[in-house]
Amino acid sequence: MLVVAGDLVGITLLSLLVSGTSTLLATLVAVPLGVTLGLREIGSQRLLRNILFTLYGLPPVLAGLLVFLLLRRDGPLGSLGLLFTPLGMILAQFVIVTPILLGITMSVVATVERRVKDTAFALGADRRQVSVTVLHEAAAGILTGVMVGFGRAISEVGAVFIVGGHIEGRTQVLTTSIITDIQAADYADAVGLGAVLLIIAAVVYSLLYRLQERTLP
Amino acid sequence: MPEAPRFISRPPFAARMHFRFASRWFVVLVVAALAFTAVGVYVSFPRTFVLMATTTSTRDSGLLPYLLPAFTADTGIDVRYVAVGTGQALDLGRAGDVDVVMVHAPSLEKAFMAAGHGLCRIPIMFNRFVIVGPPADPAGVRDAANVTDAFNRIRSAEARFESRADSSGTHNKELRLWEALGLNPSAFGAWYERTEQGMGATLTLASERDAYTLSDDGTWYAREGSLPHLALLYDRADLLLQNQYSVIPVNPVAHPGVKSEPAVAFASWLVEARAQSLIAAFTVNGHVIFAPNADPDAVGAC
Repeated sequence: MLVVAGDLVGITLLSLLVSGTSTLLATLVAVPLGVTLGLREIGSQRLLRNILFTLYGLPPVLAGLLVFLLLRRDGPLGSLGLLFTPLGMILAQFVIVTPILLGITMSVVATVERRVKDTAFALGADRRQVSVTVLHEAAAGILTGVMVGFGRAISEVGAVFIVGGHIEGRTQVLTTSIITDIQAADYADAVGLGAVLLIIAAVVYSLLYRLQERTLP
Repeated sequence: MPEAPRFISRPPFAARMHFRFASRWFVVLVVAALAFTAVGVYVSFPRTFVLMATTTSTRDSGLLPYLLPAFTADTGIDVRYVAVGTGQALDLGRAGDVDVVMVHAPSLEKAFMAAGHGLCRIPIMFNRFVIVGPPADPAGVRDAANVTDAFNRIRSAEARFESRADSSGTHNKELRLWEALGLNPSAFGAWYERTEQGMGATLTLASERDAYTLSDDGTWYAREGSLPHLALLYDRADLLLQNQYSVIPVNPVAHPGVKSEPAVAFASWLVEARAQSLIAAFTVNGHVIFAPNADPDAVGAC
């Protein structure tokens, strides 16, 4: 189907809304949790890390399937009526982004902690001050995690297709529109949407990169 | 580490600064997340439109984008759709995830009705399946006496064939045609390929791989221009190739959440003379696709 200008704006905005919200929510959950887990040596941490790195590679299409089964009317969360809504798509991408961000945050914090801890203690810092220093030094790395997470979300197609349903004027995003354009042999449209996706990546990444430079120690 | 001595000289101040730094970001993050989520909620609820599950063919042929605005103009009811395979479309109806389904697999529809998921099943229109393949036609499908003979020729020649293999109405029809020859595709050799994808993707594959495939005529005529290595080889009014579409509002007794009233209004509108003549007038690249054949009495069962 030929994409008209109004549709294109709507599709682009929804892509940004869904991937932006899922990344923000994932950041809110994963960063505090990842910092806590990265700073503390917990007995079962190796097991936790193994689970986490498995989820790290969670295929988006599997996440989509699980969230689809969760949200359908017969499913455990069926009464919320979230299937085929933008909110449902946000949830699916949240499931994909959170383990990635959690894993990166944990690694970054643990690495920085190992590097900084002894020196800081030697200089007379207490436990809390060490944590604060580690957090400050790890900020740039955590922001890289946020960038990776957003990149995964905005380029993801399987989960938003399954959970969103690609409803016109409602749950169509850039990636799903590219797929249906290819199926309808509208290759020119597909390339155009791909270009928009690339521009979004360029703009968002340059913004995040600037932010990252400011947080560098 | 030039910053390190601050722990000795002014630890409380330094710590406060770092906490302020972190908490400021945290506040920004929470506010942004709340704002984005609020917009997400705003665009998700309430769902004011009727949601239909239908097959990719009705979207890909362009029928729904043509028909739905007329319905909305007549009634003020907004209908949106998810285009999936017939198997999933019926399953979404079975779970009450959608308000109405429009599919083309009569045997599956009858099972759906028998299980009490549908309010009523209303036949709307039919189109036709066609066989497309390499223009050179190595299996001689053009000379076939009838459609089963055409399928038999493809199998005898072991000419490459792309099967949808996706539980769609078209796949269902293909299996029925092999069945009519007493054949089971599970015994076929490497010439029989399973795409497990929609009609558009399967046509592209057939074109790229010089293969035969069964297509609905609507998708074929919509896609013909972009398929240089395929030709229309068998297009006859064979009763076996008739492709009947029906619309089924989901039963509100089985699924209390569905928007039953507007779904029935949509089904009733489709059998009316105005919608039926709109369907008859619908063309894809100059070809009439759908023949309306609604039975107005069928609405009485709703």
